[in-house]
Amino acid sequence: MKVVLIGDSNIAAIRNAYVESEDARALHPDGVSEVSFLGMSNNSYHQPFYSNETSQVVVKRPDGSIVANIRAADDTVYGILLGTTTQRISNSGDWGVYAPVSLMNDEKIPVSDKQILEIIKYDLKFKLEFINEINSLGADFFLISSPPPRDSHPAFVKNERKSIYKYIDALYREIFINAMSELDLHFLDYPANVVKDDGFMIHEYNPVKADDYFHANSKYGFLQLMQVFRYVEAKYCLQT
Amino acid sequence: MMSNPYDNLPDNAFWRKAVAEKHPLNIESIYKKKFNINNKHKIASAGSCFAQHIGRKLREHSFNYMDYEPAPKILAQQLRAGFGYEMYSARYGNIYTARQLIQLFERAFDEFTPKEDYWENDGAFFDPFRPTIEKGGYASLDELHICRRSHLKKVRQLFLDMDVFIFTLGLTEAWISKEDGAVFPLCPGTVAGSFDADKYEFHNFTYSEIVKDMLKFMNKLNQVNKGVKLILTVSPVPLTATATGNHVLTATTYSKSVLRAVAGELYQNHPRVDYYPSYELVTGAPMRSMFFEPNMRSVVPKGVEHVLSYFLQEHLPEKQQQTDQRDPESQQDEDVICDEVLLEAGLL
Repeated sequence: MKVVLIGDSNIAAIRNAYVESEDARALHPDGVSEVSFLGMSNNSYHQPFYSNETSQVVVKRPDGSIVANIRAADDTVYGILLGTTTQRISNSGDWGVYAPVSLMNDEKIPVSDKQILEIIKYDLKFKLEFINEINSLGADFFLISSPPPRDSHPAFVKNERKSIYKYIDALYREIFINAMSELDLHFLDYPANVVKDDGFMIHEYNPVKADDYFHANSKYGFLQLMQVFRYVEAKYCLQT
Repeated sequence: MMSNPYDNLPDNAFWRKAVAEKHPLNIESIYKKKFNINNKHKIASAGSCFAQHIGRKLREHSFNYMDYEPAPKILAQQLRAGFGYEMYSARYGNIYTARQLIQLFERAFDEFTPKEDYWENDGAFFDPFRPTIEKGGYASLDELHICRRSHLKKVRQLFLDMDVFIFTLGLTEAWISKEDGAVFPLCPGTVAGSFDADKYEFHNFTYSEIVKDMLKFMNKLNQVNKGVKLILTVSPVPLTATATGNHVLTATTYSKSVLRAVAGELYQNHPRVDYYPSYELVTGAPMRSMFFEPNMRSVVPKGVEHVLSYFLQEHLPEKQQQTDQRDPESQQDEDVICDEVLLEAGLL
């Protein structure tokens, strides 16, 4: 069986763990012959990044180059990391001026929950449509979470920004996870032990690059990869 | 030969030369500005739905158009109008009547708090004074109050800061609270709330009432912001429905005639009030109704373009003096939110 992990830039942490760590490669579930990683970097996801062609969904980059041809194949399972990368919304500079109504103070401009919901739905529109397409195709796949929110961004020195980030991130994830649930699709959340008590990611999983405030490192990637392997093993390998 | 006062009048004083012998798209000198607007003047706008076009055009042409409640950048452009963003200089929605305008001012300056606080339908809360500003209503009364407080604070600042206020007079008909005279933009029970004849009454404002209201508004505005200039326009958009009992066509004629007369009166008597003839440029006989959609009500993009071209000829800041190159057809998707259309569509 082939495992293809495909997703946005957060896929890199998992790929790096796999490439860098012999341990990771050694922990392949029996029956998995190949693990590959495909990144669809530079997509805004605010326009279709895929096309539905005969018996396949073709994933493309903004320049038109092809990332992957997803097909319903007996020997391939896809792990899709896409729907919980919330930073475009949760960490927008807008939150320096605006705030969800429930986190308002006198200096901020309130944004109603309905508006926030619309903002998130808009951000998720093509991601959800993409998932629907590959689901309709009959491809075998599951969803993988992006890393949890991080509090190391310079904007987060103000606690209010942290609260807003967490609030939006949680709402965004809830909407996505509920949508997956309705489709009866499996969602692999981030490992439980990578977050602090306040819900933000433990700093040891921050990337080496100091000004990367959004991704996680390969140490995190390793933990997520192990979850993927465990899931694939339980779902596909032990049954065969 | 005897002379008379008409001898030396310019061509635009004579119907034959100014209208009958002119192409309708080339009627000259129909608008001469009373005062200058440059790109330093802070311009705000409000009014009935046609006024949305004016604000949009001013933004496009780099006027210093005020937007005191801008949309969060992460709210997609196509979702903004649904939440009342980028329609006017703040999120007050359509202001159809002069009484509604004074009321907004008084609410912003804490001079008046309507007794009617909210309307509730199916667990959603609506602001009776801008019921369409939040699609489907607010999730809670707290949310409504917080958003309203923030909104009125911004409106207050807008009135304090503006140099030029463009107001489009839209309707004479309104629904009013019997309790305290608060005027609603939409009839209670249409978009939200429920109609109760014991609580609400219909009123068709007269010429003298509207003049009085506008003078009251101008006086109040002048007290907080001396020297602010006013440009009045009258919406060319006919009524969707009338509650007068008259035919909607005669009701429209009454409404527009009264509003046009009010604008004329204020223009003639107040040096800081200008009148911009949007109404004539769409509904005038030479236009042969060509700027209306087949429903004879909505104004087509070319009509909007036509109307605003005269404004830009007079007021376009020197640095930006250029013709608008955009194809009017490309503006089809720039939906103008006319709440009262929902009445006709049976959506209320």
